[in-house]
Amino acid sequence: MKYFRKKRLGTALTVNFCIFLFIYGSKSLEVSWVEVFKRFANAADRFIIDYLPVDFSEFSRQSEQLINTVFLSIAGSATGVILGLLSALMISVKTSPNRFVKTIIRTTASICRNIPEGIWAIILLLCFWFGNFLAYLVMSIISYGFLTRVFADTIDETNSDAIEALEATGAGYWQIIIHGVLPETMPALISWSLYSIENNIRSATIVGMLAGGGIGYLMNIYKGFAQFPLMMSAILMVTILIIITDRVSTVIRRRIMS
Amino acid sequence: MNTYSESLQLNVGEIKIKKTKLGRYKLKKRDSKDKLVMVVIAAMFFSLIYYLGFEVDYKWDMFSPHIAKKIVMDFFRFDLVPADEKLGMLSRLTNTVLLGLLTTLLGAAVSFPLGLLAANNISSNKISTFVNAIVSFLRAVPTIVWVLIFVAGYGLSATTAIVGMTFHTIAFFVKSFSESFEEVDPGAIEALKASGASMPQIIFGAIVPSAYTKLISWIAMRTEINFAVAVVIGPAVGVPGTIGTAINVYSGHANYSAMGFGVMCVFLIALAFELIITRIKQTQII
Repeated sequence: MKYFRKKRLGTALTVNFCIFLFIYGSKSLEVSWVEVFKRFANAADRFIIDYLPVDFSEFSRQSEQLINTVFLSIAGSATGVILGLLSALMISVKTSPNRFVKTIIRTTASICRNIPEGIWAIILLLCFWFGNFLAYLVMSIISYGFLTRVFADTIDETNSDAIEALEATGAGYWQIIIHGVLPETMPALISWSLYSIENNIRSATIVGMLAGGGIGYLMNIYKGFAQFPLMMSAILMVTILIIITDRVSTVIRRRIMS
Repeated sequence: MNTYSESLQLNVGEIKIKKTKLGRYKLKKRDSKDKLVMVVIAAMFFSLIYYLGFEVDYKWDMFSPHIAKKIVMDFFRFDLVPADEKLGMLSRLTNTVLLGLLTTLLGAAVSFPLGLLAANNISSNKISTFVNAIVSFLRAVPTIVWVLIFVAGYGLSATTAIVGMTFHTIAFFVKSFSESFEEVDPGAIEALKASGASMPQIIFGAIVPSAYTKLISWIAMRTEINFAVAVVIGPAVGVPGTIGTAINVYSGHANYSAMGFGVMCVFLIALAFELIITRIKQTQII
C-alpha cells in the first residue's frame, strides 16, 4: 500500500506543479485563455479573408527562391559535415589527440549549437551584409554545432576492435581514421547529415526572414507589404518542400542503414 | 551441374544469380548502399561549390573590420550594462522560458488523447491512419509560419505566440507519443484485457506506466526546442516582451554589451536544458 500511496503523491505533486506553472505563466505573459477561445472563430475568419484565395502569380520567383533554399540548406550542411567531422575526431574519446584541443572544440561547438539560429543571424548581421552569404554562414554554424556532437557520439559508439587491430599492426593516426573509423561509421554519418539538411530546410524560413536568402526572405517582404495571399502560396510551397525532403531522406536513410 | 547450382544457391541465400550469354554468372541485385552514400556526398559537394560559386553575392566592401572589432571588444563588457537593464533582461528571459514551458505543457496535455487515437495498437487502424495523415501535414508547416498565420487574428502579443507554437508542438507530440505507445509490450495490454479491464484502466494501468520515461524525455526535448523557438519568434514576428525582441532592439541601437548579456543569458539557459536532457537520456538507457 505504501508504494501506491507514494506513487499517487508523486503524481498529485507533478499535476499540481504543472497547474501552478500554467496559471503563473499565463499571468506573467498576460494571456487570457477566455479571450483565446472567444476570438478563435474571429481569427479563423480573418485568416480566410486575409490569406485566401491563394495567389500563385509570383510562382516563378518563388520557385527560384525555393531552389535557392534547397542549395543553401545543403551547402550549409556540407560545411557543417566537413568541419564537424574534423572536430568530432578531435573530441571523441577514441580519437582525441589531446585534452586542451578537446576542451576548446567542445566549447565552440556548444556555443554554436545552443545559441538559436535567429540570434546568430542578428549577431552576424552587424558585420555582414543581409543576403545569401549571411544565411549560408548561419546555416553552417548551426549545422556545425549539431553535427559535431552527433558525430562525436557516433564515433564513440563504434566497435573499437578495428581500431585496436590497426593499432597492433602499427598503423598511424590518419591511417586508423581513414581505414578503421570512417568506413565503420559512414552510414551513420551520412544519415545524420541528411537529418541536418532536413533541419536546415525547416529553419530556412526563420533564417531567411532574419538574414536574407531563400524563401524566408520573400516571406519577409510579403509580410512587410501585407501581401498575404502571396505569402500563403510561399507557405504552401515551403510545406510541400519540407514533406518531400522528409520522404526522400527517410527513404535514403532506410536504404543506407539496412 | 545440378548439384553445383544448388550449392551456389545455398551459399548466396536470397541474392539471385543470372547467367549471361557469354556464360558468366552475374549477381542480379547489387548492393546499392555504397553507391547511395557516394551520391549523397557528391550532391553535398556539388551544392556547396555551386552555392558559394554562383548563388552568393559577396559584399566584402560592406564588411568593416572597425565595427567587427568594436563588437568583439564590447560584447563581453557586462559591467557597461546598468543593473536595472539587467533585471529587465532577466525578467524577459523568464518570460521566454515560461512561454516555452507553457506551450509544451499545453501541447502535451492536448496531444495525450490524440496520441492514443493515433497509436494503432489502441485505437482502430482507420482512425490512426487518419490522425497520422493530418498530423504529418501539420508538422511540415514550420512553427514560425503558424505564428504568422495567427498574427492576422490575434494581433502581436504573447497570445499569438502561444497559440501558434502550441499548434506545432501538438503535431510533434502526437507523432512521438503515438510511437512510444506503439512500443508498449502487447502482452501487458492483452493481460489486462483478459482480466476484464476497461479502456481507461488499460491506458493508465499498462500503457502510461510503460511509456512513461519515453514521454518524459520527449517532453524535455520539446521544451528545449520550444525555448529556442520562443527566443527566435520575437525578432522574426515581433512578439513583445521576449528576450529575442530585446536583443534585436539592442542590436539596432548598437548597444553591444547589453546585447552580449542577452545572448549570454540565452546560451546559459539553452546549455542547462541540453545538460538536463543528456542526463535524462542516460538514465533512460541504463
